[in-house]
Amino acid sequence: MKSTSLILAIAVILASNGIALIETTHNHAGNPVQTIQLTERELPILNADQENTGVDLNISWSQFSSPSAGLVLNRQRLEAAGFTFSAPPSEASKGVAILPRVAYVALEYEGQKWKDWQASKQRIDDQVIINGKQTLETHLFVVDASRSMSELRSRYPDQSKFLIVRAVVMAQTQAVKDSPAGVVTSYRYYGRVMQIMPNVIHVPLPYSRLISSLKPRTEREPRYTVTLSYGTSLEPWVSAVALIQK
Amino acid sequence: MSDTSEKKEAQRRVDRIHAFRRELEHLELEGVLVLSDEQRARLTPYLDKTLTDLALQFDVDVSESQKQISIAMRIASALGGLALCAAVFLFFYRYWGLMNTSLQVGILITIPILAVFATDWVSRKEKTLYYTSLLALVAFGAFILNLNVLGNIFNMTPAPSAFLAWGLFALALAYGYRLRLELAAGIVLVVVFLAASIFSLSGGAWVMVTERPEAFLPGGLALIAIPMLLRHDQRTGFPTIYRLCGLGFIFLALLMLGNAGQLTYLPFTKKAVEGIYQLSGFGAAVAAIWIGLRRHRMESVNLGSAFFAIYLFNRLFVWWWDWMPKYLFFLIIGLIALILLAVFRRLRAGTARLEVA
Repeated sequence: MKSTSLILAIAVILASNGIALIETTHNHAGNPVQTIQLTERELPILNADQENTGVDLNISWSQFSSPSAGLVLNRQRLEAAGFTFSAPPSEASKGVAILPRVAYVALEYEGQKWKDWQASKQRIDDQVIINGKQTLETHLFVVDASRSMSELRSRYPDQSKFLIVRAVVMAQTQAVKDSPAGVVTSYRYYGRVMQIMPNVIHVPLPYSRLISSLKPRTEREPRYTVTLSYGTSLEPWVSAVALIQK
Repeated sequence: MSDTSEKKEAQRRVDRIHAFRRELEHLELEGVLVLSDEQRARLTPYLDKTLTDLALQFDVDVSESQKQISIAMRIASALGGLALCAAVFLFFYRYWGLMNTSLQVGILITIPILAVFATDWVSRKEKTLYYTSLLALVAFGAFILNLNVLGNIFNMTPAPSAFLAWGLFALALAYGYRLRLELAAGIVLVVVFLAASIFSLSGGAWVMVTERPEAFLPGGLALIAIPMLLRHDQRTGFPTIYRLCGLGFIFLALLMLGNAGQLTYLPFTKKAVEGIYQLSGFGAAVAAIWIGLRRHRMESVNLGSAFFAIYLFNRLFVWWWDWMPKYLFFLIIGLIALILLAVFRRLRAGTARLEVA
């Protein structure tokens, strides 16, 4: 039994690593499906301490809806992302949480949504607080969602401006009531992106040396740019890092 | 007979000898039975030799202090294993930024393999499982680090299959070296994989699997069924762990659904779902106690009793906390606790009778 278990345990290690490496090779095979250059604003450093010498970047994105511009993830886009709604919602489905789904999401870099956000009164300062740390404000905004990557790409063909990623999307239904009488007049369907997958980007050598050599940030401008390439499995890798010259 | 069964039988014999000696002392004091000098001269060396032989052959605890030291050794083994896991994690993270990707991958794959070989080598050297358990924990921690960091290095999309790999690895160690901690970890990870797969098949994003606690119910039921379908003669503690983990998943899922009916697959309103699962929770707890009593499974009785009390206090809190004066609320809780104590006391007496029988 001990020998069998030994063989099984080793087989599990080798098989799972083998599958992961084959998947990675498959992702890296051929030309990248998309390549985009982002800055420290969109890819801030996730970890930087003595106990962890690896360099990871976090994809920082935002979603902004305004009364003038409307909802980003409205009913139409949510249905395109795979959600189905009955109108009006059935008695049973009222109050029942809709299953969060995995969908493709288009993120626009320095586009109209970012301009709307800048113009809006919601913007307090050039800097925002994320997880207790002061960080630069991202210029990457959610603009669309779909079940089909090719459909999104055909809608947003400019790879230097639009990044398409896999993400967890959540949808909600809200009853709109006639305020004096409290009678439900219609239903509002809206969604939001919960999480981008993957949301952490590892920076390998030699690029990591450039980033780890940076001194703590004192200015409000980004200090580096990172070129991300995405393979066939829509998993990214760092293909270039450059310091921004002042 | 396996090594474990033989060791358990040896330990039972040691305990019987000690009990016999204590009872004999008592009988002599009472004057009921007094051995002659000749009988005593034959008995005492025989019992001493038996204890020494058993201790040498099976490494069993022949005294109360040895038993306590064994418990301390088990705790030290678990804590040592966890500390070594932390050391492996922190050592890797401290230096991985200085290595190229190939070296990182090579080290990540090599550490768990070496730890598994070390576990196997030590298990063949020792009768007790203290060092084996410690090294198996290190191997398990190293394999978690392996897949986790590999996914991080190549920016892979998180997948539930990692839970299956970790679970199968832990189960291989558990069955090979008779390790209960690894068994518990393995079955929990496999059930998480099953739940995530069910959730994905129903159209959900698996990382949000707790949005539908019902996805954990089939896994929980399967865990309870496994000891009925598979015999564990050589691994006597394993069925208890299967039942405990299975009941744990079921009770926790029912507790969540009883409080948050919006997290359901059922085509009913939130209130109706909560009602169904609250009743199911009480029913499941009572069933666990009843079946546990009938089949002499104390783990089912204890866990069922604990969750019955949790469900009850949870409902009382939801119904009464907001409107009832706090002193009255706690008074009622205290009175209910007294009633529960009386019920559990009767149960305890029942189980004591069963154990004697």
